[in-house]
Amino acid sequence: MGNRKIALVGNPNSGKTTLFNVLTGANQHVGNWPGVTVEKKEGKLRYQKNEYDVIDLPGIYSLGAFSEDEIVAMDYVLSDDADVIINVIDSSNIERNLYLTSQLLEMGKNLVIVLNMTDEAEKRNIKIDVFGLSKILGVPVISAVAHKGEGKNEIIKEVVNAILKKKTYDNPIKYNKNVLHHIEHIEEILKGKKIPYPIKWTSIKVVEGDSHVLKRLEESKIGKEAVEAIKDFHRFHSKDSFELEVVDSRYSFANSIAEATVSRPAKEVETITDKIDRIFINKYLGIPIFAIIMLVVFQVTFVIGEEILGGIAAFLIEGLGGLIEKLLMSVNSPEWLISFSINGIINGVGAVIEFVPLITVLYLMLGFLEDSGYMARAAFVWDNLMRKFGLQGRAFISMIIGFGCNVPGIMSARTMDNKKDRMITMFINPFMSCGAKIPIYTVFIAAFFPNHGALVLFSLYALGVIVALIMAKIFNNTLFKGESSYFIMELPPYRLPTIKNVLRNMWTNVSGFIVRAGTVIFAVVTVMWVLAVVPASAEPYSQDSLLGAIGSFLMPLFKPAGFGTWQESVALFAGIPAKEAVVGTLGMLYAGEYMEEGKALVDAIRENFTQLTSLSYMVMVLLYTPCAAVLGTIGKETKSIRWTVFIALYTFALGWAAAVTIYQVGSLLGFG
Amino acid sequence: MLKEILKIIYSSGYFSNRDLAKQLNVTEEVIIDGINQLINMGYLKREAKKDMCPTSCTRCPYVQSCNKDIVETYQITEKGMSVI
Ligand SMILES: Nc1nc2c(ncn2[C@@H]2O[C@H](COP(=O)(O)OP(=O)(O)O)[C@@H](O)[C@H]2O)c(=O)[nH]1
Ligand SMILES: [Mg+2]
Repeated sequence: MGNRKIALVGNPNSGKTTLFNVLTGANQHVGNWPGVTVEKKEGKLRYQKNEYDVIDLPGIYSLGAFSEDEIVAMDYVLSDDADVIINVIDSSNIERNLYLTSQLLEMGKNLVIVLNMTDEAEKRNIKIDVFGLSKILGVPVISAVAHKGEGKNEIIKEVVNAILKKKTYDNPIKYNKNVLHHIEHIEEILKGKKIPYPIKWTSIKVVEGDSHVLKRLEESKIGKEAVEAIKDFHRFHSKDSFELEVVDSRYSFANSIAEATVSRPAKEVETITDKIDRIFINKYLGIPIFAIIMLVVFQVTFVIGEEILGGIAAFLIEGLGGLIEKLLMSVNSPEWLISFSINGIINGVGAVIEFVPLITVLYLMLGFLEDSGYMARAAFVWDNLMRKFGLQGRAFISMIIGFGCNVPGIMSARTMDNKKDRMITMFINPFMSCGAKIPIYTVFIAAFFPNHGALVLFSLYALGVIVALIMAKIFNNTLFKGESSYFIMELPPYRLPTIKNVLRNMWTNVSGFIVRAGTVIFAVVTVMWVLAVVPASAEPYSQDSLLGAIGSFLMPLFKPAGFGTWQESVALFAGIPAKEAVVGTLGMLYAGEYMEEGKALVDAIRENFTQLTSLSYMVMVLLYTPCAAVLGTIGKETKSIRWTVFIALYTFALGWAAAVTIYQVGSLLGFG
Repeated sequence: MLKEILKIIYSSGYFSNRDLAKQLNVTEEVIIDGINQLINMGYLKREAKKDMCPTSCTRCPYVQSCNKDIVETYQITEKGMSVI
């Protein structure tokens, strides 16, 4: 007769391999289980002149058909090859481990339980009633600290003893009546047939619908009739979710055992974060709290990013401009090069670059909120609200991404399977104020609302969101009718944000901003500059230039919104290739016009706008046609030119209507 | 336990392992396993994170924010709904 066999079964990281090494010493070899890539470790244990084979099975949380590891372990345990199974349990996580134990007991196998890692459990003040556990289960239970060899002798003694006794167990799990009835029915079908596993257990697994067991049954010779009977059973009960009942019965058993034998230190009854969290996701308070948090974020952004750091950036750029001008003059550069460098680059592109500190601060804080786990809560409270507007919660994620840039915001709608959800999410994303619009708002805020910057910026973002929700509702009732998917979000635990994640998030947005300033914005401003200085006959930067002609042509369109100069109109036009170019173009044009006076952009804006027109201008910028990259993305994602044109036009109409309304109503009320 | 998990997350629209563990008086690890079982058995579906950025996007300055996901979302399948 060959050696007696001992198999180790347990959750991953419960210490099986460590115990295996303790039992077998150097006496082991590694191979593969037949037909699969799962590693098979075998070794020999010598004890009192006898030799035993020890087998280390793959780590698993349950025995079933869901992974190769599970199937290997299940087949091996059921094969009766082993004389005894050691169920290795991580004591510090015993509750979770007991599910597997319940499955082993369900199989009725000869079992020895090793409560490993008792040192860990002790450290965490987890108390396990070892004697009670053994008594309730009727299985020998031994405490151990495998990596120190503690418990080795007792384990060997119990294991050898169990081999001699050849114990088997009655299934202790209580299934509900209905399920039990069906188990008996299947047992009836299988009775007398040659099946590869014990009949009682097989019947349970058939009711549970374990695909692996069903496959094995079909392969074995139980006859066509029995196979058909089982198939009929499943067909007939396809809606009964017996599998859930069976699994739940095991959980009930495992949980009751844990309850009876394990005590953990009373958790801090309700931690402060739990309480705060309850408020954060409260139906009524969630959104106001989100609003307050964003307001604070904007306030800090303005104080640090604009007032403190923004001034420094402006100073540096101005200084750089002076240096370049001197340098160019000293080498007798042509007039046009000086004009282009100072008006085009420094006052145009530079006007955009000035906002790098502000953007940095803003995205640092948003990254902090994101990494802390708060944004997931925000997504949840928004989900509740958005559902009322026919949007699903994942749309909020697109919206958040859209606050950085609408291109990835629109791309992220790809994760949605439902076409209606996807289309609406894409169509409203442009109303999420992207980072490129921040410079525009900020110069107008600096000119007219220097003391209420955060509030104005917040209101603009909020207006964008409100318009997005209203449009979603309208689309939902007109263009895209149908059901939305219902989503459930996982709220991750709060955590202290890591510096690395926060910095990475910030850098994504800031580097994107800088790259765009150096490429797209540079290109647009250059084109605008050329248009502003041709033809040679015209006074540069004047209405007689080509750009001036375009602006004058557009002017009547924007007159009802209160934008009275050709520069304002043409800047909006420049914003269609890229939004930052609105500021870049205004900066370049005003610098050209006020060259002698050396006026700063903010002063020039103060001269050309009023508080009211600055508001209507900002709202226009918020809502009107998204930039070319966004339109391109919409085109690619919808694969439709018609939808793309539609979006370009309806957003323009909406922005125009809103700007006109603000200006006209404001004028009527005497704010003009 | 699994049935209760389904019911709770359905009615609240969200779940946190911590809350579920407290409500059902088990440890968070047991909840995590339970959720995985529900997924394995097809009662719950974890939304697949598709690779959103096509390769042509690698030059886009915002490429990193494209694939980020601030929250895991799940869907209760038809099978799951029939239990509730
Ligand atoms: N604290 C403690 N650690 C242990 C004990 N037994 C094993 N370990 C450690 O737990 C980790 C996982 O053990 P391993 O045997 O690989 O687990 P397996 O996945 O079940 O094979 C290793 O780092 C072991 O050193 C123990 O009783 N107490
Ligand atoms: Mg191992």
